[in-house]
Order: sequence, then C-alpha cells, then structure tokens
Amino acid sequence: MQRVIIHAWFPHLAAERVRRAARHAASDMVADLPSGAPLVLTSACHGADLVDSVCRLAARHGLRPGMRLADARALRPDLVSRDSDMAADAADLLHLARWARRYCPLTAPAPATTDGTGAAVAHDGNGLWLDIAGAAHLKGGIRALLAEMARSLRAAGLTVRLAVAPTCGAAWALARYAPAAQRHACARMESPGPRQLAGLLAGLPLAALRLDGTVCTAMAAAGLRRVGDILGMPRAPLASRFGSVVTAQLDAALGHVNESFTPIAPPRPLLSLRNFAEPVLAPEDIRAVIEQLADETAAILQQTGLATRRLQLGWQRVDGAVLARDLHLSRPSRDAAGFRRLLADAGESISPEFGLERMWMEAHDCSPQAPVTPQFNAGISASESRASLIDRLVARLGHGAVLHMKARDCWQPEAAQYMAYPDMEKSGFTDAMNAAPHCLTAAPRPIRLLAHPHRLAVVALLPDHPPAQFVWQRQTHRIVRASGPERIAPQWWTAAGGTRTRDYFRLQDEQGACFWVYREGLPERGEDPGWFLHGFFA
Amino acid sequence: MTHVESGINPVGPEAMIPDIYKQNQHDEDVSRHGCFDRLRRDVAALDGRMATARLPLGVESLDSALAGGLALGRVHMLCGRPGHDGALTGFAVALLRRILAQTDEAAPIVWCPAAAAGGSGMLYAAGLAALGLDPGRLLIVDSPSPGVRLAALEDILRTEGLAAVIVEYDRVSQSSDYWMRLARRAQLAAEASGVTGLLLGWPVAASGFDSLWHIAPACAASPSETQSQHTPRHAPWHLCWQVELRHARGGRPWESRLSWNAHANRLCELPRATAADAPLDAPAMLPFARPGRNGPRLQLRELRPSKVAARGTAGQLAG
Repeated sequence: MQRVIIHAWFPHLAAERVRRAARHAASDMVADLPSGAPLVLTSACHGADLVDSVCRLAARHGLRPGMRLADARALRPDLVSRDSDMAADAADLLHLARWARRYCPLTAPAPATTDGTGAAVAHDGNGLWLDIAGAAHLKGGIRALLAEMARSLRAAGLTVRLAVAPTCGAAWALARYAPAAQRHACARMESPGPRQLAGLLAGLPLAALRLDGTVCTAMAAAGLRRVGDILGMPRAPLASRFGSVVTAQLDAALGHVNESFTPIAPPRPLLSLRNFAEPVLAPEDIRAVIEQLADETAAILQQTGLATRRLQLGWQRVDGAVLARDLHLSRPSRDAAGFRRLLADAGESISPEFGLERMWMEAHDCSPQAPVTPQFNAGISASESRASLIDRLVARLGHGAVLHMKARDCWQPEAAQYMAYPDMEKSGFTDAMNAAPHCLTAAPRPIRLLAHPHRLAVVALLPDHPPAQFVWQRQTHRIVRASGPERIAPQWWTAAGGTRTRDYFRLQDEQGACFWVYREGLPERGEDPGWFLHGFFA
Repeated sequence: MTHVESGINPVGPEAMIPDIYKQNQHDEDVSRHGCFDRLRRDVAALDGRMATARLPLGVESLDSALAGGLALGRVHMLCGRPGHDGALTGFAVALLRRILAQTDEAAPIVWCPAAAAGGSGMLYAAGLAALGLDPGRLLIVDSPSPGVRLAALEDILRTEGLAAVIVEYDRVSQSSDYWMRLARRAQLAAEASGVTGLLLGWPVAASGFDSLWHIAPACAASPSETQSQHTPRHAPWHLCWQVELRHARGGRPWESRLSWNAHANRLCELPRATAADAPLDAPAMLPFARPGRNGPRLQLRELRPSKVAARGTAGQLAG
C-alpha cells in the first residue's frame, strides 16, 4: 500500500510561542514586546548573534533565519530580539505531534536540524510528520483532513504550511518551497509515482532536497539551481563531485529509496477496563472488580510516574446506561491501598439492576510525581494521615463537604467570609487577615452568624437607640447592656437597588446571652426601620 | 494541689504510688476534696482506665472536680439550650484554646458545624479570630444532616495529627442506646489516636462520654449590680458563662460562673451568685428564667435512661 505522508511546517513556531507567552504573562512583559515590531529569536554562534527564527512580520520585512542580528537590525532598526530556546521548541513540537495523533497513529516531530556547532541550519525549521495512509477516510478523505488540520492549527494561532506526498522527502520539499497550488497536488492524483513527483519537484530550488548550505552553494557555482537541473543528469559524476548525499536525497524524495520516520510512542491511557462475559450482579463480585481496578490503576500510575487527583469509576449496565462516580483526592496519589479504602463503599452505591456489562476506572488530573520508596518501620506521617482523612470524608460526604474558611476584604458581614476547597499548604485566612485588617478586626464580630437575618419585634427608642427588649423564638429578651451602633453601608456599586444601610448593635440580655442585632434603614432619611438578628457573641 | 500547675499530668501507675499518709502530714494545705481526688485517682489507676493525659483548665476547684483536668484523647459533651449557641460555641473555643496551647502548632482542627440554615447560624471566622483561634486551622466538614456528622465522628477521631475534633449535633433525636454505642466507639477511637473530641448541641439523654457539661450564658457583673446601676458604655465586654459540669469520669459534679480572658487564655471563676442576687422581677412567662437550679435539672432527670434501658444496652454491647 502506498504511503501518504503529510508534512506540516511551522515557519514561525518559536516566535509565535514568545508572543503567546507575552500575551498570557503579566503586563510588564507585554510592555516590552510591542506587537507592531518585528520579533526575531537569536542565538550566539561563532561570536556573532545569528537569527534562528523570525515572526511573520519580520519575514515580511525581509528578515530571514541565518542572518546576523546586526544585519537584521540594519534592515529593521525597530526589531525586538529574544534568545531562542531550542528545548521549548522541541517540547512544542512533541506536544503538536501528540495532538496530531487524532488524525493517524503514526506521527513524529521533525525538529530543526542543527549543524556541528549547535546552531539551527538556516533554511530548516520546525515540522511535523504524519503518515495518514489508511487513516484519511476517517476524516472524509485527504483533502478534508488537510483542511481541518489547517483550520484548527490556525485557530490555535500557528502559521502552518501543509503538504502531502507519497515520500517524506517530497512532502518536506513541497511544504517549504512549493506554491500553495502544488502542495496538495498529490492528494488529487491517483497513486503518484516517481515521474509525477519529479514533475512536482522540478521547479523547486535544490535546498528543497534537504541539502546542506555548502553543497547548495557549490552546486549553484556549477550552474545547478533547481531540482529539475539534476533530474536528467548522470548520477555518478554528480555523486563524485558534490557527495553521495545529493543522489541519496534525490532518491528518497522520488521514492526510489524508502525513507521513514520514527513515530512517537502512544501515550498509555490511564484506564483500566473490565468487560464481562456475563452480566455481573452480585455485590461481592462488584466489590472484587473495584478492588482489581484500583490495584491496576495504581500500577499504571506507578509505571508512568504519575499521580492522580481524580479517579473516575464507571460502569455500564446491560440496558446500555453508562454511569460514573468521581472521587476527588486532596493531593496527587497513586497509593493502591488508599484507592481501595476510598472505594470501599462504592460497591454499595452501584445498583446493577439487570447486571453490569463492563466497569472501568480512569485517572484524571494527573501530575508527575517522583516515586517514593517506603521506609521500613515508618509510620504514616501526620500530614499524610490528615490528607487521607480529607479524602475519606470527601468520598463519604461528597465533593465540597470539606472546606476551609477564607476571608474577603469586604465590610458586609455575610460577604466577608467564604468557603473554599482546603489547601493544607497555606492558611489563606491568616494572609487575608493581615492584608485586610480593618473590616475583620476593627469592630467586634460574632462567632456565629445567621445565614439569613431573622426579623425581630423590637422595643426601641427612636431615632437611634439600641433596643430595650426584643422577642425572638417566642421569648422576650430584656436588654441590660448594649454597645454600638456600627454603621455598615451597602456596597452601592454592586448591591441591589433598595438595599439599606445597617446599624449594628451588640446586645446582652439579662441572662447574659449576647446578640448581634441590626436596624435596617435610617429614620432620619424617613425610612421605616426594621430590626434583624444577625449573630451571636460568645 | 501542686499537680495542677505542672502542665499535662501523665498519670501512670507509678505516679499513683505516693501514699496518702505523706499527704496527711500537712493536712492544713490539702482540702478534703483534694484528698478524695487522690483516692479516686488511685483507685482509677488500679482499674487501669486512667492512663491518660489531663489538661488542667487553670481553675482549681474545677480541675479537682475533673480529677486533675480535662482528659485529653477522650470525647466530651457540651450541651446548651437552644438560643444559647453563642455561649456554647464560646466555651468550646475557650477549651479549644487551652488544648491548642499544648499541641502541635500546625495541626488542624476538624469542626463539623450545624447546618448554616438552622437557627444556630454558621461559624463566623472574624469572631473566632477575635477569640484567638486561627480560622485557617479549621477544617470545616459541611454536612446538613447531624446523623451523618455523628457517623463521621468515629472516622475523624481515629485520624492522627489533628488538634481536636468538634461535632455539632443540633437537633438529633436518638435513643439512649444510640448515644451509648456512639460514645463507646468514639471513646475507643479517640483513645487510639489521642485526639480530643467535643460534641456540642442541645441537652440529650446521653451517657458514656468522658464528661458532660451544660453551658449557659451569664452576666459578668452579678445580677444585683446590673439591676442597680447602668453599665458604663465603654466598659469591656467580658466573656462569661454559667458552666455546670454534670458528670465527669473519675470526678464529681461542679457548677459555677466562669469568665475567660481570651488574650491571656485564662479561665477564672467568678464569685457565686447568691440568692439575694436573683432578679426580683423575673418575667413569669419564661419557662426557665434562670439557668441552673430548677428547670433544666428536672428536665434532664426525665430524659435519663431508665435502668432497664441501660441494662439492655450493656447486653447488646456485650453481645
């Protein structure tokens, strides 16, 4: 079966990454990376700064990779330069290669080749190989696949040129040097052979054969500039004069020699699955399967060096219903015993009805974690035990049942506090207390606050005296002591219309119970005041 | 009572050996109660059920009633009438501060508060911070059902590395059997991990916990002072509670007014209110005008489990 290779070339991959990072980073980064100025990435080579990669704008202004930075500055004095980062480029390409696995199973990054000194070869760039033979029909044919790929890559903000050919060399050449009309020409042909490829490549420069710059220069000196110039030439003199690399690359591009690339290893799914030959009904069987799945998931995580923060246990009933249950962990974990413990009561919550056809467990939100060798005789540390307590409580009571108190810089008593998922590393409240001391510590605050203020029937002197007595829960509380008022105005910029100013009093009745009571509405504004109980003091 | 001052008193069998005759040599210092305390603790040590750390609360008569202090690694029950949630929470915070002074700095406190929609409201962080308790250390377990919270109590208590566990059961209605079983399991879990537990809620017919307290609010000034003269406007607000220790394992009942200085983390006993201090015009419509002597005591006696029920529970536990 004929191979169908797609080569995706990202001419401005590195510069686009720098711009993307600047957009997402803090504003000071944006300030020194103006979007209107051409951007080049440079690296030092033989004592000079060479341009490795340019942005689209710089390319339009005539700046090319391989130039000296000084020459580039002479052309465009306003250009911005940054150090290039080869490792980040390679990481980006690997990421793209993984992304491209949605189109076909064989993908690989084609990184910028470097010469002996480590600098990127000038005409080279970052590319991606895909072998889509036998996979294109899934997307509705090669051309539909190419169109979708180009669309999604451009939507991600990448400049990309895609070419398709039966050989790696031809795809490489077409992606970089061919005009847009020729790049997809092979997709229209029925099994293009060497002759058709020769026709496509004939007009391209010799650099399209992945030849070194020195070889290209030497051939140009002999009057050979295009691929078509050497197609009909005798091979032996060509090889003896310019090196065997010329004929080898030509054969590879035309398909006389088979060339391949090494596809990236597929990421192993963090999933363990059981398909049952017969529907499973018995609770003890379900429990046993859950334990097996937990062990298996933990083993997969152990092998991949990952730890998960969310486990999903899924099951499919014979009637086709697919159900799942999420388990949130307080910290990344791959502890099989911990998984089993958390899933101990999951078996009861599954109602198999007419039986289960399959069950699976998937690990989500994974992060790398260094393997820890358990120590002999080492007990569980206190923090481990706390974290596992949080997990157990969350597994038992549901996500969101275990919370931390957090403070907010707000004078409204009910808005000054909120609950958040616990973070054992830092105590957010203390930080917020230090950051916003006034609204939290200025005035006395109750230790219990009613979620909904309770309306009171109050006897109080007008206009602004504290209550003399009030009735709450059918009991009359006679006030022996009061302090206040503390006036808290609503946040007029956010509050709903009609929200009124409150005057808070701290009251003590004759039994000694202390209440936090407020009067809503100011009599001097002609508002009809209402009294509310809002909290209890110690 | 020299043993009260020296932090936590590990009471092991060897600490129990000092004979009473030596104590009797300076009888003047040792009160009758102190002597009985010693005897009780000797007997308890022979039973082997008091190898526990005790935290003196700093009030001499209370510590002696508690047989040396609040037992750590046990479960205590603090009750308060509905409407007295502020006082109940405040006293729990006072006990918590005493406990925290003795334990690991970073250890979190698990607090399972009553449902926020209920009548007792939710915990308010700024108020807790004002009492010297860092709300960042609190791990709030938010579950609207008191039954679920109590069911989780044992699991939480078994966890090591916690400073304390507080569970509020707001209006759970359960049989005395249920409470007996819960108390037994919770006590075993707490003993295994050394975590102290506090249960807060309405008075219920519960037994089996290490100590049972009734907390009610109280005025710092005696009622006669309050009646006679108006409190100055800017006088400080003292925290003050009517604390009744109904039952303590190895101890004896005790009742007084306690005031707590949150800054110094010091509890002190206020002079007992006399009968003359009773307000003259107590409104007759209140079912329990004064917390203390009459009302709640009678009520609790009605709720106490009968002999037959207790025997049944013991049989079930043994079974």
